[in-house]
Amino acid sequence: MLEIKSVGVGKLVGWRDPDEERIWRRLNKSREERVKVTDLGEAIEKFVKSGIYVVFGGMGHIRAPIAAVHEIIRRKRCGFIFGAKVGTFDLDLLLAAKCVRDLEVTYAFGHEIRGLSSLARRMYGRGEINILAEWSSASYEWRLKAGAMGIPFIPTRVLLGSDTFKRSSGLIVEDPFSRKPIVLLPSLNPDLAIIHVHKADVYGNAIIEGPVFSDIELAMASRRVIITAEEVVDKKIKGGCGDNFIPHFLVDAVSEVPYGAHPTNMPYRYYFDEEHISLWLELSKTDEGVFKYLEKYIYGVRSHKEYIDLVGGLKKMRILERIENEGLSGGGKT
Amino acid sequence: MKFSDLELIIIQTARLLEDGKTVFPGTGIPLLAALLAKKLYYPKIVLVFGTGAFDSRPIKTPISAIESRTLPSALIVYTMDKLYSLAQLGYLDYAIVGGAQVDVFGNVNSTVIGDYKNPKIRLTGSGAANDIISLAWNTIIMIKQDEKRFVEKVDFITSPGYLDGGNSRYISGLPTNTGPKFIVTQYAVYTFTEKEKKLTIYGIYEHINKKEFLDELKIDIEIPKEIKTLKKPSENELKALRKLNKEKKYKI
Repeated sequence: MLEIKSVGVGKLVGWRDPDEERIWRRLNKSREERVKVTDLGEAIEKFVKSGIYVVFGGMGHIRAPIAAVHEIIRRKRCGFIFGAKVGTFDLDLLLAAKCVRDLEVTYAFGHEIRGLSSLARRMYGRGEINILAEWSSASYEWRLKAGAMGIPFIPTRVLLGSDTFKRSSGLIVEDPFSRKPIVLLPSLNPDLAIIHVHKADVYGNAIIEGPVFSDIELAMASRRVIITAEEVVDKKIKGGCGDNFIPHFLVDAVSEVPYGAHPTNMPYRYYFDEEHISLWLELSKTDEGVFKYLEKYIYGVRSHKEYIDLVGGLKKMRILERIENEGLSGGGKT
Repeated sequence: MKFSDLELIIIQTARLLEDGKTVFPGTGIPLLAALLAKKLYYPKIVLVFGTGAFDSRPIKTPISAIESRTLPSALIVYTMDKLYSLAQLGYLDYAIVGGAQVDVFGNVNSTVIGDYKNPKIRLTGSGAANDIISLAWNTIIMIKQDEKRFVEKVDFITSPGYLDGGNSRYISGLPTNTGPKFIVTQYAVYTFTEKEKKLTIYGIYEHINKKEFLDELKIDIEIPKEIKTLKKPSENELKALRKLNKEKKYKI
C-alpha cells in the first residue's frame, strides 16, 4: 500500500538482503580478538578482487588511503566497483592506472578550487568511465548508515525533485505517516572498506582524530575492512563512548603506514602536499604525463616508504606537519 | 579601487547573510563569502563546514570545503550522519553554493552540460550541494552571469530550486519554506516572487547601467517596481577579502 511515485534509473549496486548479510556476518566475522597486523600489499592481494564494491574512508583530499591505492595499482587488483564518496586524487590514480571504470558518484572528477580533473574528462570522453548512479553526500552517507543498521533502506528528504534522484537507484514513495513524498535510499553494504586512521592497535582497534566523516558506518556496513594507520601500537586501544572508534571485530587487516594519506591532508598530522598535487594535475593533462607519473611514483617504487623518500622524504613531511600546525594552532583538538 | 567580477560577487553575498545564523558554504568562492561575512559584518554567524566542523573560527583560509583549516575552535566536529541530520531537522539557515549553471527558478546544475548520456562536459556531481540546497531555510547562489550559465532551464537539476515555480518545490516533498533566496551575479542580485516563485530583481549595482542591463536581459524575468541600488565594493571590503585570499589560492 506504499505507493511508489518514482523510480531512479541508476543501477542498484552494493545492496544485500538483510538476512543474507546477517548470515554472512555470523559465519565470516570472528568476534575474537586476534593479532591482525598484515603487510599492506598482502592485505590488498587477499581482499581486493574484480567485481567487488570498494569504498575508501576519509573524504576526497582528506585522509584518503593513498598508500593502499598504490598497492592496488602495483598489484593490479582491479576491475572493482568504486564508490566515489568524494573521489579526487585517489580516484584520479585509479582511473589513470585503468584500474576502475564502474563508479557511483557523489563528487568526482574535480579537485575543488584546483580545477576539474583533465584526466577524468579525457577518459569520460573516450567512454572509459561508466557511472552507475548519482548521489549526494548525505544520501550516500545514509545508504551506508542503513547498511550499518542491517536494514534494507532508509528514508530521507534530500534528492527530492532533482535529476540527481532520477539517476540514483532510489525510490520516491508517499510516506504513510506524513502523506508527503519521501525518498527511500537503498542500503549499501560494500564488500571492502579501506580506511586510513591515526592510530590502531595490533588487533585492529582504530582511532580517528578530528573529522570522522562516514568511517564508523562504513566500517560497520562493509564485509571486509582494511585499516592503514600512521601508527600501530601493541597496547590495546579502547573506544570509550566516542564516535571515532572502529572496533577490532569489524577489521580484517591492519598495517602501519606512516604518511599513508600523502599527498592528501591528515588532520592534526600533515597538510596537503600542494606541490605534489599540482605536479599530478600538470602531468595528468596528457596521457604521456600520466604514464610518467605512474612509472615514477607507483610502479617505480616497492613500498610507501620509498614513495615518501621520492616526494621529499622526512624533510618534506616536516614542512607539511608545520603547515598543518599553523592552520590549526590557536584552536586545539576537539 | 578596482575589483573583479568574482570579488564583487563574494562581497555582495557576504552582505546578504544574517547574524547569529548557521551558514554552510559549499566549495569554492562560497567559502570566502562566509568567512568574509563573519569577519566584517556578522561575527555571530555560526559556520558549518562539510568536514563536520560546527561553529569553528578558521585561522588560515581553507582552500577546500573539507580540510583541517575548517577545524580551529570548532564546538564539535560532527560525523556526516549528525551533520546532515541537523540540516534535515531544520538547523541550517543558509546554504551558499556556486554552480556551473542556474536557471530562472534557482535550480542548480553541477553534474553535466548537455545531455546526461552524452554530455558536452561532465562536471563533478552534487557533493553536498543537493543536500544543503534541499534542506537549508535559505540558499544563496553565486554565479558569474552569462548566457551559458544563467539559463531558462538547466540541463540537469543537480540541486533543486523552485523546480517549475509556484508550489512545485513543496509538492515534490521538499521541506516547506525552504529554497533559493538570492542569486548573486556581477550585474545584479536576483530574488523570487513570493507566490509564483518567479525570478525577479532585488538590486542592481550602482556602477551598472540599469536601463541597458534591463534591456539586454534575455531571461524571462519579472521587473519589480522597486529595485535597490547596490553599492560597489568599498576599500575596506576589498582589503578584507584580499587578506583572506593572501595566499592567492582562489583565482578571483
